[in-house]
Amino acid sequence: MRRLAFLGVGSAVILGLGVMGATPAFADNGPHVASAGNTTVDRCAGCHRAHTAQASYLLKQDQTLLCQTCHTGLGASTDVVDGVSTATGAGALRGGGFMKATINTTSGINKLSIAVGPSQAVTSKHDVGVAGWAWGGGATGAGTNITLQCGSCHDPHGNGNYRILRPVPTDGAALVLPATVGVTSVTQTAVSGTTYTYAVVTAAANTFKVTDPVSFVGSGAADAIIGATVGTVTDSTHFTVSAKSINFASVTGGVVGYADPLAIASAVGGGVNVTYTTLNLHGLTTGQKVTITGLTPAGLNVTAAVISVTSPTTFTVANTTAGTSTTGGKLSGIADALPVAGGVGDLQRIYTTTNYWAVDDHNYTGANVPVTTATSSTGVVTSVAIAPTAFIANISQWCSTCHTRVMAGSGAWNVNSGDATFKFKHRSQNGKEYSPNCIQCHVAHGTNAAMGGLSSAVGTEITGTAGDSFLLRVDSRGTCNMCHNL
Amino acid sequence: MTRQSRQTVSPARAAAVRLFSVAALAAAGLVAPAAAASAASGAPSAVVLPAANFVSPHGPYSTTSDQCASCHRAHTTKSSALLVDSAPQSKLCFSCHNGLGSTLNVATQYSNPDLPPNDPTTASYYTHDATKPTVHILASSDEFGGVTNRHTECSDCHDPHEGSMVLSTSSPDGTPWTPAGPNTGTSGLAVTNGSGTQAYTFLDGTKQPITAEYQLCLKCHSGYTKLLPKDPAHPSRDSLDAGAEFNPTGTSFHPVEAAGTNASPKMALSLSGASPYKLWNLTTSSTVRCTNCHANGLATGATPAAGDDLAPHASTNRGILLRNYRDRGLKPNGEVYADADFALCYLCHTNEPFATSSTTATNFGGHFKHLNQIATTGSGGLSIDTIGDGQGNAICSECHFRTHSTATTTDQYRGLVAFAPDVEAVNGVLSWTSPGAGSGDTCTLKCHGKTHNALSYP
Repeated sequence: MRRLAFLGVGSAVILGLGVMGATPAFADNGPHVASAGNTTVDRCAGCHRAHTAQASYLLKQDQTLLCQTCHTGLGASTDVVDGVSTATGAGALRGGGFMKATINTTSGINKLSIAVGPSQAVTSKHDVGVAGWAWGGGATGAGTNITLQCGSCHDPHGNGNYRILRPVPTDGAALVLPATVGVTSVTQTAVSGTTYTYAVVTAAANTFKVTDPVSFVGSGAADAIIGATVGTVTDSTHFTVSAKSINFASVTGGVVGYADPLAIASAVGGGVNVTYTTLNLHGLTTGQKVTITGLTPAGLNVTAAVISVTSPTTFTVANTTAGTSTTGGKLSGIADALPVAGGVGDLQRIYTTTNYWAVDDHNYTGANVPVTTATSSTGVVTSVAIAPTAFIANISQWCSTCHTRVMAGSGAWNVNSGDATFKFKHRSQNGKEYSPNCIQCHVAHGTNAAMGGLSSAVGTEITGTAGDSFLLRVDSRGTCNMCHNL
Repeated sequence: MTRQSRQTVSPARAAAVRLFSVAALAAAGLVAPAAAASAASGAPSAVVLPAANFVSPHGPYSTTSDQCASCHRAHTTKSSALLVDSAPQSKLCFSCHNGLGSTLNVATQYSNPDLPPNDPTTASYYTHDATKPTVHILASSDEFGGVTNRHTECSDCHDPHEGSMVLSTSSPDGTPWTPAGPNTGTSGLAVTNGSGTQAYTFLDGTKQPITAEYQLCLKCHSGYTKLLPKDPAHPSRDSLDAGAEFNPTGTSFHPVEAAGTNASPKMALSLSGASPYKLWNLTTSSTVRCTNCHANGLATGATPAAGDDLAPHASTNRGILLRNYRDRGLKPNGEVYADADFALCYLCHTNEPFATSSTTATNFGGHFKHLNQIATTGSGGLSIDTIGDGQGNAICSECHFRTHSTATTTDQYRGLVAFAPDVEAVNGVLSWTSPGAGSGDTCTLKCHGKTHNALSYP
């Protein structure tokens, strides 16, 4: 069975543009430069044709094959087919490869670093270019059948994000998702300090996508939520929301859905008016409350704001104190949350065998701590160090764009989510190193982990496929013992 | 003396090909749902798994453990604790412990058609009922301290990650029996005994493991939790504080936490003598397990050792007793003595002083008379809880009303003597004086219509 198990990140797909041989292609570098102002740019022709294109987006050939032009060890240092990096000091690609992987899957005990293993055929992978199942996608059932492309996860034109990951997985028409059910109205109901509570005034489930985490906090018996983590886009500062389904009097009801097409997360902070594109508001239902915390700077504070949905994929936060409302605008999504390339060499972002299990730090230590810029409400641009946890704190929300109902917060092991398949769930949104998080257990491209024994070698409830390794990092259920040390 | 079970899993049994029902395996994630669906739609079938491939899901676990998937899912679980099957936990446990997977068939213990239902209104319990969903969360969390939270999920008594077939032991003799392998890793209570007082400390079972089997039982059956209110009209139904009862500073108790106080030669003979139901060969310096009395009813001919796998899951004997013990219903006029009425006692004690007139193995010479020779004495009713009742031969509990201990009684008599509510006072006096074992004892009471006024007996 084709699988699309987990849209994990931490891997090394750098979409090649046909620049072969000469120079290794770095993320946000080489052919993937995100610079502007070069009016005689040559790189376009690496991938595109204006009139003789053979694939959508005016690509000169099928997207998967095009990317493999470089990412098979011939151009880029990241060989995503065989799951290795050819860069100095590198080893197994964290995300594995699509045909082979070199992950030493024989032990994950205590999350110790392990040596690179032998190159082995993958036992499961994210299907690319063909249809596969996104487990946990859609409103009900085991999952949603979708077709991923390399570009679903990676932005070939560069965007400043680690591994040029898109702010939100998407690929336009290539990513076939269920139709959206939109929110029609969201109204503020309470303010407590810097916490703003909003009630969604619609019976219809609505759909947003992921960027930064957002919290839904129930306040009454009528509140309900499908245990999803909801994201909203922030300005370059800090709009934090995170799912806490356990706070709800009821965790049943609601519908999970997706936006189609996927709108890139964006927000414009123009002083008193902020427009947000929201992401992954899975299963928002009537009576739900949204809590928005920590919105800074003060100039962008949404005190007394009303959130109203202006389209199935966006809503507007308008500062009603000022009596105005602004929609539209664009911001670079979760660039503030994902480590960026700025001044950091590519080697610092390659997972070597010495930091393989450290899924978060990316070797960002000491002088290599990445930075990004932040613009204050008065327009002052400052350099801001990115905390090592920024990446991992957001990656699960990112994955949940497709694996929506897999997402779960603390306490979900003992709370019935109301979903028939994903009823009780292991926490997956922890933002700390060595804590429950998608990429702590799963790889993005493909794994060579082998499922053995009587228990894990047989099919599970959602696939029934014997020996399905579900993109797990360690043989059998060694991933469990990474933390549980039984 | 070291007491350890002699029962082990026979090599032939261990090497036997294990049969798993397809449905059970599917529930445990061991076969594809499609296979289970096929099996469900057709004739019963089984998957034959060679024993060589069998790895216990209860550990130990390697760093690339496979067993997690037997019971757990990370995302697609059906019940709390990320279990693959819906609540209660026994549904999952019985997918193997049903006689087809594990050699320990627990499911049939609960499905026994002869098993009476638990009746809380009369405090008549025949099972630790693990077949209904409960409010259980985690055994390692303190779920019972100071609250009424009566429930029994499998994991209240078993840690599925540490299970083993290690047997309970008492070594050296006189020390409390250790938790048997199936109870390893479960939570319980450590008790610090003062003179008539107990201080409890919750043991989570992992960082603080229990070291004695009774510590597990005390979790629910002691004053640490909020016990059910007493029934003044029916004291025989009271759930008492087992922590207080087995406090070894007491006057007289069955020796659970420490050896008993009656080390007399006749008690030694009582324990070493024969009986039709004899199982445990204990001495006056021994301790006993709770499960030596409270365990699944035994099949005829079964002869487990004291340290064997004795589980108080279900029994047709009220009180989840291993053998029958008649302690509430008095004998009607004319009913003769029967060993079977007190079979529980005879697991340890010889029946000789009760079935015969011999006094070799008892400090009280009147046992035979009371149990055999007053069949037509008295005209009262048949309830041990009603004052003045009694019309025939006596039963043990009329004089030994609190079998665990006399600690919760007013008079704190030796020899586990505690008179039942049907026994009356004489001129306001109800007493037993006992200057010494077997000499000069006197009774002042009225029982079965017979007045004893400082009556002495051999």
